[in-house]
Amino acid sequence: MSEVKVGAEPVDQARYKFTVNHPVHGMGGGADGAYRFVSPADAAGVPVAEAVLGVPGIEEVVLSDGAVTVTRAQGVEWCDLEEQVLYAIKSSVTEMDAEQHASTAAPTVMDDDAMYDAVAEMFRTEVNPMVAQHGGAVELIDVQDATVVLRMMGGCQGCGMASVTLRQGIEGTLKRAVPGFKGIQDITDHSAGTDPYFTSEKK
Amino acid sequence: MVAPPRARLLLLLPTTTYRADAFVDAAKFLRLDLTVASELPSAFQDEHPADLLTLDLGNPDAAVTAARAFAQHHPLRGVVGVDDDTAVVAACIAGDLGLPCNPLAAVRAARDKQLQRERLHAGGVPIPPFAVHTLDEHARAVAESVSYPCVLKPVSLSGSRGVIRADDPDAFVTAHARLGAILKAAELPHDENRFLVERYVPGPEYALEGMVVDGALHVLAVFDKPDPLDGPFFEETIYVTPSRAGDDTVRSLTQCAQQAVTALGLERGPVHIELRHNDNGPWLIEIAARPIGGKCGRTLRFGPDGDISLETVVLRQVVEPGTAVPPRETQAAGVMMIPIPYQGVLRGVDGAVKARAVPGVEDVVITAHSGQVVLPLPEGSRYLGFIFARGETPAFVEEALRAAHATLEPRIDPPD
Repeated sequence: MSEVKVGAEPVDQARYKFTVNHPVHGMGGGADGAYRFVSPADAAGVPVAEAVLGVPGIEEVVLSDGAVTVTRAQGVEWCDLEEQVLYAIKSSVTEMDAEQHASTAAPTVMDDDAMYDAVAEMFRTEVNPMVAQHGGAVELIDVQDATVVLRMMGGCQGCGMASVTLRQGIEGTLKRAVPGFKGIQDITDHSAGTDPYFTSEKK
Repeated sequence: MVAPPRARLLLLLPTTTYRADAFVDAAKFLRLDLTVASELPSAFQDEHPADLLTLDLGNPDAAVTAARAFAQHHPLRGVVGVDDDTAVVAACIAGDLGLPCNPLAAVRAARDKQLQRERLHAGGVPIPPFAVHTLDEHARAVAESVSYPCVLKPVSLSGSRGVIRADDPDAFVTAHARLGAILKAAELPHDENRFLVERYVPGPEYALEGMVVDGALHVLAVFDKPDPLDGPFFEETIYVTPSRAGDDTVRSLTQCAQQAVTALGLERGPVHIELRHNDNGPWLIEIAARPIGGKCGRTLRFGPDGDISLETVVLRQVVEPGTAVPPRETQAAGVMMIPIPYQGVLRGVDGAVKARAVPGVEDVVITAHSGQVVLPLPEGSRYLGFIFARGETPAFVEEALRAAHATLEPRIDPPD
């Protein structure tokens, strides 16, 4: 990650253009390649805009590829603003770059054996204690090409809400904790369940 | 300026539903962020509070309050109910949140068979003549006052539960007693004991599956019900689409269905409509503001590749109102709701492997579980399971369903 450099030049009396040697919005290409922000709420989630609009006396920010164009409020002098805006841009771009670097760094993708061990541990410590509240249990059968093959038992086998437990519960838990996890394959014979926690009926 | 968040959908899914898989899969297919709300907590609710919610589905006011609090932290794009009761709760919540939804009065009328008939009658929809009674009235006195043959029908049950034909006053009194026991066992809110007495309308029965967009009915499928539904009970078994009734009849059924949608004031969403047709034309039997029940939705596939489910069509209309409704695939398709032959304790169903091997049969799903007490209609509220078939013609599909059913052997022990 190279050092963030920011240059500044006036556009007119009200506006200054700051050029940056790094991307400034991280939002992909807009329709016209530029994004305009006029309030902190508007800028929520866009660090450079949030930071610059946080400087008192700034009323508009336009972000384009490698440039930040800033409009000051009437009655405020640029000499009072320039350093603050420079700092806001530099610190927010540096922070954004660091976050991006962390998120794009190669994730620790596990092979199937390592994933099996990780999932088995998750089942033992998290998943099974939870489904046990409904008399259920989940058995890890295998991990194949990052897909977790499992079988549901007890109260989960034949339960009318088993798919909700799988998709909204177990899958979410594994997604969060197991890098590279692709999905779940349920091989349960749900028609053989003898004590499902929830049973279906006509409504 | 900031990319919009993915649409989050609140799906009201009672724990007794047959449709959890279908709706959860559809939400995944559409890449929606999904919150499943049920009347009882999921084991994972604390772990995934954005994805799982507990709502009092029997108390719409309480559900609205809780959903409003939830939506403050998790903005919602739409709310969907999957059955008669949750369709009403969904309309309450969506209305409160300012989301597109049916008028509450329309959905309430669809849920209550008395209100429904009053609105249909006022709208000029052809319906069987009816009267409303309560179980508090003297059965023999009511029996002497009605025309025969008639059908007794509770206002708040679904799936032909409690629906009994009577051909004379003695049969009426017997049916009345039986209906009383069914309603007592159903433990309905507010001790609901109203029932309709409708004139029995002869003729073949059809089911129309539709999607209402801005008040206009788009027909998704018209099903024949080839097993006669003459009573005394009205167990639905086979549904096959497309209908073999002929273009004129289907057109007439469709017009009647549109009249019913308009009379109720439904503006959007799925409808499931039961109709009969005889020499006097179409008769509207029931209309519900929800998709087809049980697992029967699996029968319907849409789009050029047939890879879009009914539930996907339903959810897409919620998050993208007014989007084009795709046509159904060109193949014939059908389902058999496997009837429960007699009361007892289910020990198992043999022959499912053979049934799946019948040409045209796609799947056999046994939903009742071993050890479960099973009851046939009119008392029963569950299916034994479902058989699904697909093929070139409706006749082929119907034959496949019957052949598969013939191989199934439920083992049911007498009740203790």
